[in-house]
Amino acid sequence: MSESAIALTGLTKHYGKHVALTDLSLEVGRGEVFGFLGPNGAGKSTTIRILLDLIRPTAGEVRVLGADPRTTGPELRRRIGYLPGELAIEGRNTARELLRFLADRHGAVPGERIEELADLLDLDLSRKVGKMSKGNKQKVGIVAAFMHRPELLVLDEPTSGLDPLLQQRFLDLVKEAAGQGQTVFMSSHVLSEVQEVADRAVIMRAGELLGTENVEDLRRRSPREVELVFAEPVEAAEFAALPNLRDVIVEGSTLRCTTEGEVDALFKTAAKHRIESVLSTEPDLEAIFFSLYGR
Amino acid sequence: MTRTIFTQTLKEQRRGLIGWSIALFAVPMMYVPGYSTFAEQGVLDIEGGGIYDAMGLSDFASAAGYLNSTMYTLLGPMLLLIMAISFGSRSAAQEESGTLDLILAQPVGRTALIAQRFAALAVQVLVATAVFGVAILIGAASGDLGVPAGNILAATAALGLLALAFGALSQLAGAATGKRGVAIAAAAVLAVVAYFANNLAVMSADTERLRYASPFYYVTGGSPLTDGWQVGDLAVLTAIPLATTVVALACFNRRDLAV
Repeated sequence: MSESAIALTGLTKHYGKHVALTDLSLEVGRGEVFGFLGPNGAGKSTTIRILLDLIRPTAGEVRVLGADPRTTGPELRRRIGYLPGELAIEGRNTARELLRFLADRHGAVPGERIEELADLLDLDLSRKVGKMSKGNKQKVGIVAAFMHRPELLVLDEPTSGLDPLLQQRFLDLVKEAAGQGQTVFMSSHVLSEVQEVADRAVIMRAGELLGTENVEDLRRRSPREVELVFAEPVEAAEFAALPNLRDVIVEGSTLRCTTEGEVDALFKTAAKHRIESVLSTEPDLEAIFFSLYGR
Repeated sequence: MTRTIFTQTLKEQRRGLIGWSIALFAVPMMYVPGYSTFAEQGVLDIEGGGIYDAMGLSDFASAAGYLNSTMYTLLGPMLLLIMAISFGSRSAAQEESGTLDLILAQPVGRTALIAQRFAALAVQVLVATAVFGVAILIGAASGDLGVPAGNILAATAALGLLALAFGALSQLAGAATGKRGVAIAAAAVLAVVAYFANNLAVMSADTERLRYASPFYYVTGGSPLTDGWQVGDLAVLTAIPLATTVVALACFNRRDLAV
């Protein structure tokens, strides 16, 4: 047990009659980058807030870095970096003042570390946090989570509000943390932001764990919409029977279909024609859930 | 210097404290120095009606009575209580906005949060009450009220502790519910009820004892402006905020933080 960064057994949380989590068990190893996937309302934030002792479970056992968050409290949280899902920061403080205040809670965070992270994320530390946009507040939250190089990073929807360039820089930060042996537990409702950094992921839905997946497998197996435009009209029958392909629709010279797994057969068949363009979209989690778990 | 919840709270609310302090200096300056003039002009010869008794404004004949009625029964408590109740709801306001999620995810215990917020409230009430006391002393001296400075200090200390008690009640209601509106409303309603309980109870022998249940009684009931320091009353007024804070800690440690 002491090997794992997070170990949950039979975790259940009720809010009155509303059931937020049902019998959740999972284990995250030290040094692992772990994706915690699920649509909004799946119970991801509930689980994360239990890890930090912001809320208490109705039943089940929680171990974080070998300790019980309920009884170890501040000492345990010194070793964790947390980015809230709905990050709310207010006030007339500048970002620098707020971050130094938070840094003082952890002790021994060099001032340069805050400046360095702020530079990386293009964050202006002299601005007042209360007047910041959602994206800039999110940057403040990211700096707060990473600045003390915690053993465990708990990140709830970390890239929401960030533009693509900054999402990439954030992912680089996660990789750097992983390279230094830090454990990262990050939730998301989109697979793409997790797949680049995570080794394993669990998928949640309506408070229940649907399964633990290897992220690479998950990505390969996930359904994708593909659109091929040919130079001349094609026949649907030519493609309909190909493996890993379904929902084939042909309209004149345009083919639309859903692929799952290897696309070799599709492209070898398509290559018999002159291809003008290919469009393949990122699968969304809902589609993955449906395809994997059929409910 | 290390920033703590305590220092950060003082810093974040410094503008508010300055504003309240200005008001608490200005109000005695308007009412106190002019006592003799008001008395000579007959402005204070009001018919003793029930409404004045209910408000606790029963004695304008002496300087101490005037001071007691205007500053220590009505305006002083009103200003200091509104300030303390609003400052006392700070943690609930942050919980409602979601900011507390970030703070309590740091190595900060819930006990430490409530205790440091209470300490900050105590300092704020001390500062505001001290400004009020100084203004009364200046006003009384310039208006030749003849009320001993020691008695003014004794009454002011009791008033400050009363404000701290209601600030702590606001913090308790916030710690129990996590809602700023509930924190303020609960403390304000209690303050109004306690205020009238103290002033109305005395009007009938049957209800006379009810006033001992009102914190307001321990501010003016022992007549500190004429009789000086009332150690027993001050002890009661010290015990209320401390006990309230202990209950707030117990409530807050036990429950889920609101989303």
